[in-house]
Amino acid sequence: MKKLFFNALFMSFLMAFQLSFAQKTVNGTVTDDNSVPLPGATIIVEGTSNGVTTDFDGNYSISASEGDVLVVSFVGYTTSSVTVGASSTLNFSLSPSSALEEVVVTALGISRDKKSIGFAQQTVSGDVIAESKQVDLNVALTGKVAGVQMIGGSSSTFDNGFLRLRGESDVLYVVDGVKVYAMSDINVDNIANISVLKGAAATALYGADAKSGVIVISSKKAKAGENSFTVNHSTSISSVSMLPKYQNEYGGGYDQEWDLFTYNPATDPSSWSAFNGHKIPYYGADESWGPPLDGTQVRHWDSWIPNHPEFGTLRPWQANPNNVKDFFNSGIENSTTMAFSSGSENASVRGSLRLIDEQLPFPNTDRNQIDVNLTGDVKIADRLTAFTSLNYQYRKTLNFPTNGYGGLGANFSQWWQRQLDMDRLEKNYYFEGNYYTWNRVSARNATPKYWDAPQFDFYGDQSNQRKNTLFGNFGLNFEVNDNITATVEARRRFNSYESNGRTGWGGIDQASYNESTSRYIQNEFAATIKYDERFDNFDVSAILGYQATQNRNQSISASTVGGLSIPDFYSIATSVDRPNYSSTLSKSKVLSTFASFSVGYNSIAYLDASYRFDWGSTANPDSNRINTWGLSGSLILSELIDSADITFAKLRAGYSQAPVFPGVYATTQVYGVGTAYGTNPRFSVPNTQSNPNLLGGTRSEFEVGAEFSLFDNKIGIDVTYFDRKDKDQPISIPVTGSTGYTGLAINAGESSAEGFEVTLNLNPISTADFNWDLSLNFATLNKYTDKLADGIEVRVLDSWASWYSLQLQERVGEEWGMWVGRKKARDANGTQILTSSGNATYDTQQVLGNLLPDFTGGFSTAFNYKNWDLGLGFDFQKGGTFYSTTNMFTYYSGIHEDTVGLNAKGNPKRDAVSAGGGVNVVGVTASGEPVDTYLSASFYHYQHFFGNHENWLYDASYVKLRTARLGYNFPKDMIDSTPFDNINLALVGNNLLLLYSNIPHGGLDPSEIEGSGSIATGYRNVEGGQLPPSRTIGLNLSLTF
Amino acid sequence: MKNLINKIGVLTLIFSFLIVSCETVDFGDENVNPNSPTSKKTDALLTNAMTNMPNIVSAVEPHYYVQTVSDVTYTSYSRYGDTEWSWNWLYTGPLKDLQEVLDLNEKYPSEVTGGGSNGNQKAAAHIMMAYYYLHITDRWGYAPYSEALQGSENTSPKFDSVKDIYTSLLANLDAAMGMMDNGGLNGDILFGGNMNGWRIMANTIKMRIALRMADVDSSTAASVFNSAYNSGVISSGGDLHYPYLTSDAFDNPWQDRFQTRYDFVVSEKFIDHLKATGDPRLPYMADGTAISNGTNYVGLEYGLENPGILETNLSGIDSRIIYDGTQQGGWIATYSEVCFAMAEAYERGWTNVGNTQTWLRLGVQASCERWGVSSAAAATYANSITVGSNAMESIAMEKWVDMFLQGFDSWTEWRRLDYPVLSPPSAAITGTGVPVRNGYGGLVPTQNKASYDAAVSAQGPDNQDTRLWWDTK
Repeated sequence: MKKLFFNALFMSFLMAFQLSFAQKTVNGTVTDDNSVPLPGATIIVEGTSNGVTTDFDGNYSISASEGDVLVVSFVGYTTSSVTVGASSTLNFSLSPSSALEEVVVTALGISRDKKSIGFAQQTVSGDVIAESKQVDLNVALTGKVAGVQMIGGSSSTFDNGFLRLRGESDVLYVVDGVKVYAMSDINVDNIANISVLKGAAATALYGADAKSGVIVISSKKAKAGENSFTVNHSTSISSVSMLPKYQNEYGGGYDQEWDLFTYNPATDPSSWSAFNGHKIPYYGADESWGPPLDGTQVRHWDSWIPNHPEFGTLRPWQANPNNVKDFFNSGIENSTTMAFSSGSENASVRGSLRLIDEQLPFPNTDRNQIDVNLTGDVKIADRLTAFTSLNYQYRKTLNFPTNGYGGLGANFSQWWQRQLDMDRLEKNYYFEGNYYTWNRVSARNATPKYWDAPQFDFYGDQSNQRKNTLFGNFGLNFEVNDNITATVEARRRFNSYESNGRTGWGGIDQASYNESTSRYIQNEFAATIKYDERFDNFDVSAILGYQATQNRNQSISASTVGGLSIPDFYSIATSVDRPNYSSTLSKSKVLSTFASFSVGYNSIAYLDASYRFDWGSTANPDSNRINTWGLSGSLILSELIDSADITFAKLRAGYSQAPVFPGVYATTQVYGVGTAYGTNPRFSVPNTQSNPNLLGGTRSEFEVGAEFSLFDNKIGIDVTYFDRKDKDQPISIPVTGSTGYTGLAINAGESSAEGFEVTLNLNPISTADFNWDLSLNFATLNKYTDKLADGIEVRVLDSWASWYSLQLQERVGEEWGMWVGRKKARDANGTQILTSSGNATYDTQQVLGNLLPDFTGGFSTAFNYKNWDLGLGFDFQKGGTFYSTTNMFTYYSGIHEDTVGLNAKGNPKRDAVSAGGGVNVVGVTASGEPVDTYLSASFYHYQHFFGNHENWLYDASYVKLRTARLGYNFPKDMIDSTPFDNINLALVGNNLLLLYSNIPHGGLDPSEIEGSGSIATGYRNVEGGQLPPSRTIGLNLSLTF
Repeated sequence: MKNLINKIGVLTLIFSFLIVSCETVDFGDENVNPNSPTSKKTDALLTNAMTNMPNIVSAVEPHYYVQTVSDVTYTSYSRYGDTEWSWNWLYTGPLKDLQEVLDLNEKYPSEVTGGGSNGNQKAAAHIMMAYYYLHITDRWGYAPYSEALQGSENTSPKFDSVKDIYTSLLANLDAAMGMMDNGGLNGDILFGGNMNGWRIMANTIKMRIALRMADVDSSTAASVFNSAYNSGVISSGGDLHYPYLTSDAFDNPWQDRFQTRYDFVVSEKFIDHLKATGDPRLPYMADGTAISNGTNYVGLEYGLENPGILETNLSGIDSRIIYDGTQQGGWIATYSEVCFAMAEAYERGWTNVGNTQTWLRLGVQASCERWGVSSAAAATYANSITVGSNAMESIAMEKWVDMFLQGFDSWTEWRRLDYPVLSPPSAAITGTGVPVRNGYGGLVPTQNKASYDAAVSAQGPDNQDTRLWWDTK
């Protein structure tokens, strides 16, 4: 249906545009100094609303009369005008305006000259973002901004990546003035421009929400004179690109002995007497320490399915090296965007529709998404303009495979029988109305022992989600006079999620059903007055504003308890016990006033100051105001130094203070309500002690920077250093449980962070036919804990008790984010201390590494040759550590390739120790006696590796080829006879190649580790069960009418 | 002129900016939490504190220390792979809730009478706290007590000695019994507000404390024991068990453990002992193997690294307990325990009531009947029991059988009485013997270091081999 609709639309536009305008026209090309065409330049007949834009080859065509003046303008270039003469061909060559005139978007969407700002800011154009055809904005931004570290979600799932800016993850995304609820609400195809404001000096006008930086997004708008319709379609295929390294020598089981079937006349059908003596694998084992895969005829799991053709058959016990790989399909994503733009002097409107249909490499997964975006403005009176931006998204998802322990990432990546044949599992796991699994209890008992068949996770179990998002603004802009502009604006965002999930009948777990709905609403009203004036050598501008914000978040969830009462039917109503039901509502309000003042002297020096008051409902009513301020300045050195080589040079510095409010309801003590025991209600004292005097903490930040543009813009450098201090943050600080609480809400803690951010842009070659751009972003970050609460020197940020208490800690005076856990005990010489029988001994509470990387960044290069363009995007990280559960269990369960092979004697280490097998362990006892013995391979891998944190912490360094794009612009003469103004075809690849990682044996991608535990949202640091990463390759076709 | 208008406009705006910049804004009740109550509902706190008891009375872990249950698959637990055990659930859960009951009754006595009389509420809270604190100190030894549960007032509570905790618990239990009145008690899922039940509970705890300190302070122990016995302890038919419900949230945890898995079977040592003594409780404690259609009883050797045998060839825990046992199991204290205690007291010369053999037989008979054996069969078996040359060993062995699935009680009795003779499995992962203590949770040394260090230096290394104060041999 959707495709039919698309075709009809397409055809109707095709016909509409074949009606040509029978008028005399002026044609020509707009190029730069070097004859490089400038697509998107605007040509207007002066004094009229008649205007057009150039196509991708810089060509334009406009109807005009002799004597008309054509005005040609293009961002970053000087405007040019020519009077139309007798000739109907007019070519324009525009000179670049110097870097001085680059305009950037700053806080509250205010455009400023780049040269005038005194804080770190980086612009990414919407075209660059859209090139990779990523749905996920964070992934699309990877490597493009210095100081932004992207933490990938699983590339095989619907997961979003998220980013840390200067080490913090609570970055604010603002689209056309609206603070969006979730990054995924943003339509990447609809972005005109992204401005990343990194420090608090840049974001002070946004107040407390923005202390960790703001990503300011401007949506595409129609330009005056523009009249276009664009269709852009991509189809891409994704496939799994990496798997853990598995062994293929031994099959499932706990030991290498075969069990033999013994016919029991009392209970077995008489026909089973023929099975007497059949070799029976240990189905119930989810490990692979079993017999060697030598082709022995055995009874595989599906040979016990009643009535099945396989019933009673013997098949060889043999390797299936590709069994895990065979589970995955090819994912496919179709994305179509249609956009129209129309602009005149008095009104402009742009609308776009994006349709996405995506299937993952996993079975039975699907996502449909519709985005509608509309921007427009109308001059309703001489000095009065109305404007709006509306953005709608609908998204429907079937099944969300996720990284993490316990899910699919643990089934067959961690616990598995290596010999299993995936095709057979797929064919036979569901037969005659019953589900079966390889992991049955025994020959006679088909009950799952630990795991369902992996297919059950997608067909038996299911989850569904529907998301509806609407956000936008509506406002009026009134030019009081040439110097004063007043704006009032209402903004609203509305996010609604509706989800349900089920644990299927017939699997290992009790059938269950849950559903939830949640809504997140924010309303904002803002009024600002802007004032600009030039006095002799001084440029002065000021802003005064008022803002009211209201938040209302509500969620309702219900789940069945004790199973379901009607088979194969899933509803809350059929819960066996009283279902769990919970609803939460959280409301808050903030009122704000703010002002900023800027002064510039003769384009040489600039000073900026902003101040903001916020009153928040979540703070103590006796003291609920916080004051945010920022001060920054810049000095344009190139105005003072006269050098032909230095195109532009600037020094800048800024300082800011940004306090925050405590969280909603954090200041009052309440009781937790538990499920009633029969008719007895249950209350509990919460585990975090509340604090009525909780205040907002304060961040102060100092930054300096320098920008240079050298040799006629061939080299651009931007260097920033920042130094940040956080004081008195209102946080729940962990305390020892015997206080009656595990956390106290207090104003505690001081931490500091500092780092460098470097951006380097090179343009080594630039000729009429060939252009080569290089861009490098690089950032360092160091974060230290300066103080915790009085008497507290160590704060446990997170811990994983089930694996012997691995902890993430911060300690006063040390770098934030230390791994602390178990390490093999060693004597003064570094020799491992063993028990006399060769067992490992451990030292606990050992510092094992640090979470934070040394540096992160990205590198991109773009070539343009005539109609061809080639772009490559890389990103990298050096240092940082993460914990790998997958590797811990692949060793434990004997499926890793490193658990097979030969021992020091040259015998298979999986052979019995008595037969010369086993693993050699050498060390000393605690009393210094030497130990040199052999342990059975399975015992060794358990004893020495399980919960040995030292062994499973890995360097998270990586280099990745993230994106590649090869594009072709069809030449004008080829498409002259078509209704198209431009046709572009591109081959696009994403997540292409992990070029470097420091993980022995590989098999894991350090750039997409999931989070675990309570700080998961900020730091993805514990790999609990990584789903294999995927590579995506697609074709993109863009048509402009 | 235009400039003048501008200037006036700007000044007006700056002025208004300053006017609205007041110190505070009144948001009314915007920050009142609509999701959670603040009402002082002490009965709901008491109920909640009691619903934590299954973590003790139906725990798995202590059965490894008395070697009555074997792991089929994940054998690290039975090989003492876990050494650190968190007590946070006790302090932040029931103990904090009970402290809140005490605090509310002190601060707002007239506002909390919906929970019953102030005296009864405080008495019940003290007795429940004694129950939980005794569990803590008998498990970890030194533990925060006098400075615990104070929140931000004291974030590094010191550890009190087992002896000091015992002394204080005894005083609190006596005080609690003195607070009881006829004013009722609500939210009481154990005794339905019957204060005599609470009195028996208090005396049961006193009796346990007395026996545990017998080897270190015999005279105090004797007087505590007799005062408890005389004040009223569990009588025949008065067994105390945790009242499990049928709903999934409140049913027997053993049922949940076997809902999707089959990880535990009865140990060979336990089954072989029951077989050797011809104990009629065997079919009520264990299932016959599936492969024999329930006719053969086969235990699994304790503590193997890799059992390599299907559970269908082994005896599971009695299926009435693990599959539908809403009332089975979950014993808090029983009459048979009282009988065995009296046998020991007689043996120690603390009492003249009855004699060792009488009490031993009464205990065995009560135990058999409790497990489901018919009265006649129970009597026959009980009367066949004689006190051996080592009376304490005879008592200990009967307790070991009686307290099957009463893991923590059984472990404490084994540490105290040292029978049956148990040795650690050869594939043990940690320690030098069968654990006689639990290590402090991994967060304690980081979050309360000075107190932890002081406790370790007073008590001995923080491992499973350090004996507690009363565990002298």
